[in-house]
Amino acid sequence: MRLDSHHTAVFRDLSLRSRELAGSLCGTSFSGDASCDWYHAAWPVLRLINAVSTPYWHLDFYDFAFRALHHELGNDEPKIIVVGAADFSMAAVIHETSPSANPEITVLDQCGTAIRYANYWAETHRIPLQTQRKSVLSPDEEDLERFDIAASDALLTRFPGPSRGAVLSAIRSRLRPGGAFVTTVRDHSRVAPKVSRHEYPIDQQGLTAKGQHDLAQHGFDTSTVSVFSEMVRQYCKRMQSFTFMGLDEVSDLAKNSGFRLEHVESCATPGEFRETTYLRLMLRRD
Amino acid sequence: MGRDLTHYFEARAHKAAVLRAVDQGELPLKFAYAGSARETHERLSRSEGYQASNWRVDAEIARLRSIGAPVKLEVIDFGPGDGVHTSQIIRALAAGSQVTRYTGVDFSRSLFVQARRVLDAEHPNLRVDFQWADLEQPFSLIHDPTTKCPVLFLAIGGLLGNVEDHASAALNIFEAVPSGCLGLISVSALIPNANAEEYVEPYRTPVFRDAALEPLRAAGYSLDDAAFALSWDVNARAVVGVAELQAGVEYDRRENPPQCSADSIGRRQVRVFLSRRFTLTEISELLESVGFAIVDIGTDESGRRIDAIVRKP
Repeated sequence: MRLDSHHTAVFRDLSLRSRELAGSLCGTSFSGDASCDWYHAAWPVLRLINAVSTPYWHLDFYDFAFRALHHELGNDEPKIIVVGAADFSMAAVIHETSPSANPEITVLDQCGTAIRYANYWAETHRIPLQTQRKSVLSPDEEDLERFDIAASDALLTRFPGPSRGAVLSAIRSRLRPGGAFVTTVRDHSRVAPKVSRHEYPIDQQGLTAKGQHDLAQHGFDTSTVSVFSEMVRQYCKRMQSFTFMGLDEVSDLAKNSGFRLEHVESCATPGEFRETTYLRLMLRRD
Repeated sequence: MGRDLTHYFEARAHKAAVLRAVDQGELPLKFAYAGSARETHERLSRSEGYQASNWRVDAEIARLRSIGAPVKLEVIDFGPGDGVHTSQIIRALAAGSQVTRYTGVDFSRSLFVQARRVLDAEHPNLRVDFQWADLEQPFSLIHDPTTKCPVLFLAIGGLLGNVEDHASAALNIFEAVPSGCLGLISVSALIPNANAEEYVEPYRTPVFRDAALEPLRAAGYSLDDAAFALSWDVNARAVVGVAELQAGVEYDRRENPPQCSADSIGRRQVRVFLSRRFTLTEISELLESVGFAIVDIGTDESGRRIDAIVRKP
């Protein structure tokens, strides 16, 4: 697993401000809670210690997908939308892997904190970035069929089964005909083989001893780690992912939402609490 | 350097790996299937005579039938290429077996996208999955616990003869497949009393030359006038293809320059193609040495291919 040093610095900065930002910017949660502040406050801390899902687990796949789409498109200014961001990581992966000279990257999230995290990264590295604070389910008229590529990492398991079709259809509506949606989903139907990771920084109760040690290694004092510990405890208590039952469900969902399954691959990742199997997908708008 | 939309790599890391390999004079064949090389490989695999000289599905299926292939099968396919050979195998298997799930395992994601198109079109009810692996490095496979039917793995089309280290590849496959599974392995045979030209002649085509040289083109080498020589290496018992490079390449600043001197070379020779031939004894000893039990093995009617059925104890 890789966390680039420049991302470490950004996540460290954001960790110190995340509770305040989430308190003022978070709105209605994707999970239907009154606020997603518990999620976005803890998120930079969790990313800093490699405790949660990240597109960098799938960097080789995204590298392949964005390169292949770039060569197929044949232009240096593809329009790419990141749907459901959590932070800046998916935009950063696109920036790192796309061979395009000037990709137009738009980050969409319904939460102002996620948008702020993305903008903070873009401003820090002087990377052009457009943002939209809105629900994935409500595309603007001018965004219909506007984008060449949509991308999101581990988004669909944030939604219960019945609503996934609507999410996929809304993403499809933003893609031009022939456009592609590149994403990953957790596959709960299969057990992942062991990968080389023995200690996890969090468990169901919150930070483990390793997690606390890792935060101390990043230079945080005891009282700051204690504050982070409570934020992480809230996250572990409230976080919920919905079951996704493998290739058959993905195939049906894609087909019923107007996509063709162009590429799917299975992979094992370290996972959040245990090794986890993911499906990596490239869906083509019919 | 402007970005070349015709010749390109599948992954950023591939360019650095290819330039390191050029520096060492031996370019693994796996790069000739990924990125823009997917297209040159596809043209090769559909060219006249390619299928006839690389596989015979009837012989492969006959050998499977002779040992009683199970009624229901999950297929794991190492190096499926563009899916044409695999599709023919699955179609032939359907006469007596039902393939419930198919997993391709390959270094090339680009080629697997094409394989998927072929399999989806010709076997619309087949569950098709893919797992990326470099067969020359240890890897694990993700298994479906709900699949109760026996596994048949395929390592066909001369796969073990085209990797750099066939012993490591055979061992890695053995370690990755489940115990009790059957496997169909086919390799090209050493032909008794054949002369060098008999081995080399099928490769003397412009389409093959383009396929072999494409990774170098993707790395930025200008190869229009490059010499490309095919020969039979008696010691390695392999057909080898060697390109003579006239000049180095420049780096795109967005790419990671590798720690090698390939950007400043003069003339140099690089082996870009390798296809080994095996005797029955050699391939039997190789497969048994990694742990497989040989159920059945023999050459086909042409004497040019060896098909083996193996079982992992």
